Amino acid sequence: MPPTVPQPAATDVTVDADLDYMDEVASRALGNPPTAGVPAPAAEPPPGAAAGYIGRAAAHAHMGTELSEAERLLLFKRGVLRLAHLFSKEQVVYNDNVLKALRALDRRLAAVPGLIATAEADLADLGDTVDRLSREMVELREVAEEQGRRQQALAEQLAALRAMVEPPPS
Amino acid sequence: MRIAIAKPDFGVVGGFEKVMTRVEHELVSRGHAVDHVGVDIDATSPLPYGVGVPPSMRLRLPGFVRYLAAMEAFQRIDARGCDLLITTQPPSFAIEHPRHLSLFSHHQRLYYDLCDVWIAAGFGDAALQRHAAALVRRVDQRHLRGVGLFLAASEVVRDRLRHYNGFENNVGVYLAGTGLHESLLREAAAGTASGGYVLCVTRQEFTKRAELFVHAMAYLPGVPARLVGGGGRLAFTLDLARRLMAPGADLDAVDDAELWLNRGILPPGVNGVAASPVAGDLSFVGMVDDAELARLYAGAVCVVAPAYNEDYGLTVIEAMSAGRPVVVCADGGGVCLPVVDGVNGYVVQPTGRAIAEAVARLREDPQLARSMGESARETAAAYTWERAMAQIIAGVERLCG
Repeated sequence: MPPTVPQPAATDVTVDADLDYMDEVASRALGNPPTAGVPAPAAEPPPGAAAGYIGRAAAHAHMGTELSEAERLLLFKRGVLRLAHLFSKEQVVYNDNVLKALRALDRRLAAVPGLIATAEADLADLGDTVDRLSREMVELREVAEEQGRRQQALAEQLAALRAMVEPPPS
Repeated sequence: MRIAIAKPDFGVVGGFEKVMTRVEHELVSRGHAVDHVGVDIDATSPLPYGVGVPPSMRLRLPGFVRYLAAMEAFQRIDARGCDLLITTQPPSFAIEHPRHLSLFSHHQRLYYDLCDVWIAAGFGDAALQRHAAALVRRVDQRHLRGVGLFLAASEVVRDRLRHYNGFENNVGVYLAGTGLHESLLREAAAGTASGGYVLCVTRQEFTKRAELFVHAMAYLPGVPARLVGGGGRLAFTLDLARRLMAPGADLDAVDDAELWLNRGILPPGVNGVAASPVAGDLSFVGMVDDAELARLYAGAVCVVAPAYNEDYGLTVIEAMSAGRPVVVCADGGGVCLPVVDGVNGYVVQPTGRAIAEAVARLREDPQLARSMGESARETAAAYTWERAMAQIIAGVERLCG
């Protein structure tokens, strides 16, 4: 019988997309088939992925209150809609505003991958800069040490020259 | 025999890479053919196991995605053409082979023994990290069951294999020799340390706890000290040293755990490493070559190794080989293994004050420091590459009959 693997203490794990992802990828790493109901492999959604859905919702935001002249039973429908207008007029305003909010959100989401890429690039640059500065520090230290050695040698030469030209103190 | 050595390529050459170079030379010298099987960790699949990664995942837990991607890459490697497979760092053990020897350096420790301190330091979301740890342990276990024989990098790593995985009968140990050449260490051992400085050799990264060394030296004004090594926390440690060594700093009010259980971020308004990395009597030496390191050992009165729960204590072995008594912390894991408290060094509580007291004892009594250094050298004499290679070759023979 295989040994029991100690597990970390249970926590109040909140269910979200990250946890679902972790469970699914670990399950597949364990050799299990894809979980039923889990969408087919898809990377991060392309920018503006929600635009299609928003467009379809926008087509129905006014709940069919706009009728063309070619409609059948036009007069009857106008009568029904006039009656329904008492209830639908505020819903239409609500739908319009929800659509506006969704469009704004979609635009913001579309910008996220770019922001992440920029942040990652900045981090990579920062790492390179740190490496470069570390190298430069080592080089500068070596230069400083070399200068110190030269200075010491010059001082010794100077002392020797002085000893040659100056009479010893009596 | 044709032997495959599998290793993740992290793009750096560290202590373990040097170990593997020696292992390969030894195997070749015995007439074996060695193939390298590597996975470039930076070039693994962005979608491990074909599952779409939520964008937030790459921000909140990037290490998990990378680890699973590496595991998938190793899992796909076909090493059946070789007579023996030797795997190394995780998750190279995911390759399947009927004769599989794992030179097991460590687990992916953020999901094992370092999980709690990682969370406590604020590096990640606790719920996500713990969930990831549970999953990684399950996935690892599936693959680790396929390993025929483990040679753990120390007794500490062997105990972790027993604790986390339940493996006992198929686990041995190999103990690496020193990274520095013997002749350099002999010269260092001959050096006089009378009135010398206190030395700490460590990468400045999370859990290496250079911060405790800094705290200790702040208790000992006027005592010269050298901190060797670079790393991501260098600027943080230097700033900490300046604050602790400033006049009037209340050293006893400092919580030692808080000093290192953090992300190592500089306080607002503080810039990075200055041109002159010195705080009080403590010099930040940076990275040095082997010859310079040996010279530094030679001039040290003792060597402090304050790291938390290490796999193995290569720098401690080196310091002891150089005839220097060492000061380690009781929760140091592998760094404590060769140290006998009061005989060849001191094992103290993980606080600046306790380290400072041990250092002061050694500085105030040069005779004691010398005799402990001599004991340290005798202890370290057993840590040879000849023994390490004999342990590894015995493992190969045990597995291959």
